Amino acid sequence: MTLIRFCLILCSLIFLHSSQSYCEDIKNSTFNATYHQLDNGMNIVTIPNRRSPIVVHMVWYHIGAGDDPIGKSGLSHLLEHLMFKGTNNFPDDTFSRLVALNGGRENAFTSSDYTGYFQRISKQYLPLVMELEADRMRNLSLTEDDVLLERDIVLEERSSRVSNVPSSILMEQMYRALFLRHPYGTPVIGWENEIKELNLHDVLTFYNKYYFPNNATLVVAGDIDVEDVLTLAKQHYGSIQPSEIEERIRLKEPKHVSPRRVLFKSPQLAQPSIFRFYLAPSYVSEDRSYSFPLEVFSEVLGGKITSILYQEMVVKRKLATWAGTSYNPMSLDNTTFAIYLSLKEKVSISEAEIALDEIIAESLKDGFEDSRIKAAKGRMAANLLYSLDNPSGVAKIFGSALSIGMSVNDVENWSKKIDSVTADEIMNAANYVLNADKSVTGILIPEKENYNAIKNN
Amino acid sequence: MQSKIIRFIGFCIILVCGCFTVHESKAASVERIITAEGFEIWYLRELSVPVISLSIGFRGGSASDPIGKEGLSYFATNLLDEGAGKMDSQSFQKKVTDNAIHLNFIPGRDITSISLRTLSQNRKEAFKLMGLALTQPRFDKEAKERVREQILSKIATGEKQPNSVAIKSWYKAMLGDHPFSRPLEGNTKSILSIQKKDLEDFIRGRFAQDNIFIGASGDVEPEEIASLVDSALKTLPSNSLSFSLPEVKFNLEPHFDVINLDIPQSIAVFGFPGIPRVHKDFYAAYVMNYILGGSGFTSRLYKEVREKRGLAYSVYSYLHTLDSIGLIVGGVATRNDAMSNSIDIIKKELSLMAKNGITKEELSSAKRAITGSFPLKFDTSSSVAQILLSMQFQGLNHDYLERRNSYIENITVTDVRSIAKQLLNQNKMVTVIVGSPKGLTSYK
Repeated sequence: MTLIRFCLILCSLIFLHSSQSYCEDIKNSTFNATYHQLDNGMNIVTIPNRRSPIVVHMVWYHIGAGDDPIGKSGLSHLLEHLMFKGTNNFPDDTFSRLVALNGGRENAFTSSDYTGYFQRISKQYLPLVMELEADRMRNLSLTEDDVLLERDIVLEERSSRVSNVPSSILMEQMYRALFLRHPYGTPVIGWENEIKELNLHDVLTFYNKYYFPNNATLVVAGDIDVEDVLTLAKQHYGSIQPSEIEERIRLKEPKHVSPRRVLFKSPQLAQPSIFRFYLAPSYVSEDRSYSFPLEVFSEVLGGKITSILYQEMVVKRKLATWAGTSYNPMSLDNTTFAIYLSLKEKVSISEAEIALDEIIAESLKDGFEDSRIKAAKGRMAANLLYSLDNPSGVAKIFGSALSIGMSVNDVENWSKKIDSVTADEIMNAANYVLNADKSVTGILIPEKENYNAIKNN
Repeated sequence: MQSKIIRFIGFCIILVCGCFTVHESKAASVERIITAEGFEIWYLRELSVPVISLSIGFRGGSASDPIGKEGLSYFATNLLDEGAGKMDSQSFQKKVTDNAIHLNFIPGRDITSISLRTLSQNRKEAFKLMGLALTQPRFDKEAKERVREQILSKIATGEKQPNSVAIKSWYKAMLGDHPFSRPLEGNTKSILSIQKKDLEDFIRGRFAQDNIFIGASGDVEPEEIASLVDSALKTLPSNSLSFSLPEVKFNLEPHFDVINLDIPQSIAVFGFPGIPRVHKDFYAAYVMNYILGGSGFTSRLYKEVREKRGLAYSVYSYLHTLDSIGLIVGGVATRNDAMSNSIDIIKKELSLMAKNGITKEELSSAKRAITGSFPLKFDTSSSVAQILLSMQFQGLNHDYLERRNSYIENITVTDVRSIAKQLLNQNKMVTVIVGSPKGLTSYK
């Protein structure tokens, strides 16, 4: 059953300057995606899917919170908000008004590695949203007042997402503890004290440094004709001048030599929880060869309620009400392999933690039965097919992949890579990654009731 | 409506219920299939992806749980995939996951739903497992006690989370002791009291052929959907056990409740009694709410509270309809020292809407936006199946998909003003705030 969802919000990843050759024109049998590049360096991925007469139009900038200047955390996210403030051509809220008026939906998101803007709309309005999105790539018009007001909104967003949510506070501290130097230790939304100091100059400097076509990927999915999309893209994005983009240099992690531990107590909790983060490879990091085996490892260890972790912790030992793992290698630099346990009310934290370590140690020593590995691979392949049922989901896969320097071909080959993973590779990867010295354990502890007001009500 | 009746050698009947022009090139037909066993399926065929989605609903949810057994439907629903037929939980789950079947059971206040999503190639196994879950759930002790613990944990957590406390308190204040105000998952005492027999009684009472609604979409011939459903569900009993709910008595006085909690940001839920889904003024209320707080970045509440003043990240309103009633629900989250100001601004907007309604320009923009965005609801097969199920449950006609936009087009400025005046009556407004909002205290 899926009563309690495993909802770690893992801060995601990065980008590497894209090195695809001009017009690979790769046909993809699963997604039917094609790759092109405009003369100004902008990547274009098209993914036709004619199930309904709508298009998903996304622009991904290869820049994110991991690139915020030191002391100015939250800058890329604040800029994402401010991108809705209008240009001289389409002032104030014209962008959002036109999208809504024509039956569209829109939004934007920021991760550590990329910042994306998207619209879903009836296909006849693709030229409109392209015109609008291309316009705000270089023509954003901002005032100091815009920035001050939006900063307040972001502070409210931070309260909703973090300050009011004990598990988010704990995870923010855990990321800070896991990444000794790398910017993934800094929250995407920013630290409150630093958000409060961001100003118009910071925002414009960042915008004028990174928002250029040669630092962006356009993804168009849905009921489209590829040639039409290319013609429109040339018309709207093709005339924007590129700029030299500074290489993104991120601080490297020193050697990790000691397990770390973070505790957070809150009266807003009913039961204790245990989180464990390990530093883990991404699809494009130096130790990337471990990423595919580790994905299979994650699925077997903690993917579903048939997983080893759930069966041991919840069903057999009855220590937890939920147990699972989470690992997403779609990240520019080393990322996180996560384990989550929601404990039963009266179970001691140390008892549960000892059990967890036993289960991990057994898995690392004995490996997995072949049947479990095969089943996990089958589920992973099937889930890829399900993604075809959702044009927005497919567009996101390609957008994030290209934002971290992967190619359309890499996405196509994912299934094959997963399928070819061997039992030995899984064990090698798991033993390399699940090393206590490269880990942080986080504990959420319920604190004394403070809802007296409710009880008396 | 121009319906054609096609008979498939006595096995099933398919009525083509008008062409819904989601596709320009190929008009998609909503088909009404009557299977050989007598099940009615509303079906929209979609061949572009190798996936089949099915949504099933049975009338009756948490509101019809027996007194003292609150949360029974939630408990039972969450146990359906924990063992059925000859398979215990582990074997059942292994079959489901090995075949990459997505089988979800969704408890509700007035309906209990099941959503099945499968790759076409695994459809036989998928339907078989779903059928077993609905007709032969085991409620084994191990699974039952494990899930009981999970529900108790969820209840305990919910009692401490400000969002959950706010919405639960709001329902209670608006609907009093009516069973619609109960939390879906019941309470600690009731969950502890539920036995295997209660779970079996729930299944026997609700899961029957006269109480079922089915929507489907996917990559399969309609005749095959009919036979898959028949083979999965033919052993369902013919008749459900009837149940009745007391009449809803809405709160009819101003109610403003502050629940003190030491958190940096206060959370407010506010709202009014609304109108049911089949009410003649539903579409006028829909347009009104769209302009008030339902349209994301362009709504009045968003403009006034967020965009102009930076008081909140999230501010919204929506219409919530249950079996026989409707509600208008809104929310805002604001720092403690600004909540009072946010509430004043929201109340002012509610008054303006109640007094003056909307302008002609607002109406024409809203119509264009609402009708133009309709196709966006159909971009995954599971959302299509869910819509086809909801249409039946809500008592809409099978030509709803073609007619829906005309219902919106027919709304006038006068319609909206009149429904706004009727619904946004602040003498009936219920507001619940959780946090430490400066300068605000309860009155009720």
